[in-house]
Amino acid sequence: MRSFIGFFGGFALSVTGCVGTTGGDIVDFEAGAAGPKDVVRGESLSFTTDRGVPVELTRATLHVGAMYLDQALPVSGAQSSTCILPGTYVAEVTDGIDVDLLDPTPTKFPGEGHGTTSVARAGQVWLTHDDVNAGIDPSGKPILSLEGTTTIAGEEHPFSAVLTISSNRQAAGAVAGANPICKERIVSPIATEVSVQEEGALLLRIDPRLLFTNVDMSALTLTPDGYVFSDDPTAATYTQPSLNLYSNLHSGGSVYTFSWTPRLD
Amino acid sequence: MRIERQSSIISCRGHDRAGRRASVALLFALTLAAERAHAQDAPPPTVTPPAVLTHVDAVYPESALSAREHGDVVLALTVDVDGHVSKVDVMQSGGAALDEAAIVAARQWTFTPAERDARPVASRIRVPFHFAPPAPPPELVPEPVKAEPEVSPQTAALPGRRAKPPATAPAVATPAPAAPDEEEVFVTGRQTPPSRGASDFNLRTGELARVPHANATEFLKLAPGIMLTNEGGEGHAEQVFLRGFDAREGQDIELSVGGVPINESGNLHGNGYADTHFIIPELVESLRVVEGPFDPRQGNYAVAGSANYELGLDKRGLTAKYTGGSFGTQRLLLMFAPKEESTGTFAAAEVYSTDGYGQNRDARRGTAMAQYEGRLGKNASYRVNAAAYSTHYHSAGVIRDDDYRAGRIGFYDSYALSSFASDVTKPGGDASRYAVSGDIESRHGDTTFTQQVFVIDRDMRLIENFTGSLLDVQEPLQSLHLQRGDTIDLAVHETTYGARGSSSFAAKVLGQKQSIEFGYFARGDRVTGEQQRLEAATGHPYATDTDLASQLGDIGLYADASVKPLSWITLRGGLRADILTFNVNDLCAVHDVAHPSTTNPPVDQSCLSQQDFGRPREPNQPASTASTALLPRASLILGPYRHFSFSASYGKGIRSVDPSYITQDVRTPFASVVAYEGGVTYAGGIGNSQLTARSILFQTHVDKDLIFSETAGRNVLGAGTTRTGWSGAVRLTGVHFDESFNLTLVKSLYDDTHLLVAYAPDVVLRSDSAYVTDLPFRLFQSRAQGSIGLGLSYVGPRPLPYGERSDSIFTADLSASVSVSHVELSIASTNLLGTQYRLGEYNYASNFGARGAQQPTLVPERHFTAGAPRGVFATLAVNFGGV
Repeated sequence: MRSFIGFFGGFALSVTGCVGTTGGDIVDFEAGAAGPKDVVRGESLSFTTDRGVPVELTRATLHVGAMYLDQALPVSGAQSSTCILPGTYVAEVTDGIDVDLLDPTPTKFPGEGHGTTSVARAGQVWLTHDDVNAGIDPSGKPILSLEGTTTIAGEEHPFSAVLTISSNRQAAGAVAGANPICKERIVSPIATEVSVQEEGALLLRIDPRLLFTNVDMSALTLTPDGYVFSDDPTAATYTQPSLNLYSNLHSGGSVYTFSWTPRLD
Repeated sequence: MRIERQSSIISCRGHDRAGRRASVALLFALTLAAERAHAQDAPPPTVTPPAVLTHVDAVYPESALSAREHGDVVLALTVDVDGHVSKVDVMQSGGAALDEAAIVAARQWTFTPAERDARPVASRIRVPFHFAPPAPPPELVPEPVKAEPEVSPQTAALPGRRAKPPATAPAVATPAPAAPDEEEVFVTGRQTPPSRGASDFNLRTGELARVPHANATEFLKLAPGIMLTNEGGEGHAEQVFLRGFDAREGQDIELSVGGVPINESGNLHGNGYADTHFIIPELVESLRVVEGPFDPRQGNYAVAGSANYELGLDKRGLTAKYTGGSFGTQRLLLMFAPKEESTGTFAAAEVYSTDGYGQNRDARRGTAMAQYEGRLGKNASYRVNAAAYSTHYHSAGVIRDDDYRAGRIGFYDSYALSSFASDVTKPGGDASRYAVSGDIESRHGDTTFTQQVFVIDRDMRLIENFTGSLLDVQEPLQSLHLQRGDTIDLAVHETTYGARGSSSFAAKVLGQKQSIEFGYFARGDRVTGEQQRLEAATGHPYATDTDLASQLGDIGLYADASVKPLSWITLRGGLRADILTFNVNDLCAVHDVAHPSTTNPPVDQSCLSQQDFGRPREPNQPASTASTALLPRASLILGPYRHFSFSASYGKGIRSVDPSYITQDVRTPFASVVAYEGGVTYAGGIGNSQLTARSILFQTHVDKDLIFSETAGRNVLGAGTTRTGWSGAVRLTGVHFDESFNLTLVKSLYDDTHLLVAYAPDVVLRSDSAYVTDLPFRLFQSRAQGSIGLGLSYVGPRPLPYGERSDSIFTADLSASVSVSHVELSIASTNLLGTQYRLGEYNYASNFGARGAQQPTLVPERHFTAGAPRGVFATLAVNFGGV
């Protein structure tokens, strides 16, 4: 009898899915965002732009509304048509934070991230305070705030930028073929290879130095407050430096880096 | 009343032992008039009448004692294919008391069923009872009182069958048994196809109908390995899981009623969608479930297996039944069955209404079914059936587990009625089905012919939203818009017409009966199906996903032989060939344009009429194709030992694909299944009880399995899968009880990754129990009868995507009833334990907006549909008899 029960029990276990899996796992995880590793908290960041212009950043804050990871491999141009990536999303952090880009210590997102353990190949950073498709950002808050000094022609000048993504970025008229506002707010795709787990945290590092790529501040109009980047694409002062700074916000390949870290602190 | 009965027993005890027992004279004068087809010019069919296995003698009623009257009652018993008495009619009355005593006894008899050409068939026999009072006691001697008077055990037999002699002689003189030429057997019902071994279940509902069943689909649970869920509401077909298959709403299980197909070819929600809600549960007399494609009669959709409902109504006369109870549920059912006709003749109609057990679960429906079973001459019978069904209902849909855990929505709530609801169109739907069918069965010598025709008109509208507001992303060529919602509005209209027929021939070769059957099945379907997306704020369609007009054909031929070289070896099997034709016009074939005009972009149109630099292009795309399939099936059945039989079966089955997959002249991509199994069956008795027990090992392989896509709202083709498992089933039927128990263990794996197939349960246990007995009191001069029905279900944790497991499910349903004469009052409780359980659980991405202003959630999350909480329902049934 005992042998029969043993045989039957073993058979039952081997037959049933009690010993199998459908693969993967659903996990909750911590997430944070920070500036580059080599910045020092509480200190300004000095660097030289690709144009050879010295810059000292004294304040750099970016609002990250959400971040997502997707299984789909980023293919140049293939994802340009929609705001939502093809493929399956495998991780998300949907509560926003303001990130001090001059602080290497991660700022923790208030809510936990959620996802599956599948490997992500593409990421998205959502630069929004509200509905990503809303024509007007009701909060009126900036997405990017920069302050610092730059030396041009041997003279040191302050500069500042306060960029928003609201009706100022909306294409004129709601016509077919126009770039939808969500594309202005979503940085995508950001190439990555990361898999979220139950233990550890998802870390987004944002390098403010790369926001100045191809930005020639000397082309800005010098005001009593120094160089001021324009936030109004329709204004006459919206010149190439303002456009490039805004464009660099969407540079998925270098400004933003996803990684999996054992701890956020 | 009780005192009278006790005194009568005492008086019996005081007399000679044989004579003092309640002397019930049982006479078997069975008149068999074998029907002979073409009596003048054709040999008679081989008809074997039923033989009594167990019987209970009638008790001489106390109410007749004072008059000490003799009386004769002649009953007509309908014996079903399982040998149980399914109907009793009084052909000759001996008065109310004697009639009742005879009926009570006769209903407890069991038989070896009648056979025609070696196949069990339903039959009707006449059984006369002669009642004689006990001899008067010489003295009154008090003795211990027994609850029931003893009666002498007698075994009766129908002429021509083996029977034990009576153990004791009747206490009173009885007429001699009638001569054989007075016998008559009215063979009714339809032949049951020969068994395919251990996985061929002929399930008689019998007393197990007393177990609460919400609908006819739930009777499937009498077969092992079946689990039912429903995420779509009361008018939506049940999702069937069978032996590790997610057969969805019928796509992998061939369902029919009286041979008329239920699966809907080309239904856009699922090719083969099968809604059984049009079947009134009280009319389900039996069902045959074959778990696997082992019978050549099984056609399209018999991937996991097949189930055929046989309808009948035991209760003769006019019966009115009202049910009221929890959740504002009300049901009125009227059933009519002429006494002089067989159980296959009936008419019934119901009206049902419920508010549902939570938000947005109300339903209304009406159903009418009628069937007439009659005779054509002496060698043929026919049936005509008509059914009508219409419903309107709502569905709560799914709940995200994180929303439930955070308290944003209740367990039995619906997003459709939540405070943050955005949809003006609530999930739910409408469905209707109107069908007529007719069949005829005739015998000419050793040959039996069957022929059936059917016409079905079916409409269905289904509104569902599994993903909230996730899918309607801004496309570059669209007008700027926010998410408009993912609500699916699906409408299907289908007209089905078809026929099936067979001819079987039996002959004695090698001293054994051999048989062969040729048959065909043909159906045509004209189907239109359209699926649109509804704007949440207005309910207006904003996009068309699919718009198909299809003409589908399915013609199958089969040959099935039963070869018996020795008395204990049977090889059954044959070949089936099917051709399936598809003529599909996709009316919305063009959804985007490769090179849109810059000055006149197509904007938001779903079904575009031009593409490629404005070259003329209509929005539709016709496509037609056909494919054939050869499906071998075989079963070897060995029965060298008494009561035991061993079987091994092999079979191949197919499922045709959704018409939306059809491409011009590209062969239909069948999903093909190959199944193997071995089993052992015990069929015998324990005392007066019948016991059937089975143990089955099985394996099935499907080359293209169906995987549910929550974004598409229907099934899509997936990879190959293999299922391996074991099933066990026991049915024990006694005079007062009926017990059915089954357990299935199965492992379902993808062939390529060897990962588990999600959603299909790997452990399913089911128990159905019924107990019926006379109660120790009488009302209105009638004996009261009580019954209890209990259904227990256990489903182990189901594998879910991303390595997760669902919760297990355990539910208990209980009913209790008391009947007196023509009135029955019953109370039923579903989910008696009040378990809060999740009927369905799913892992996928959705966004129902419950989290307020946060960004949308795009990654998979656990969702569930809530199982019903405890419900209590009272039913009053009144049979007006006579008619």
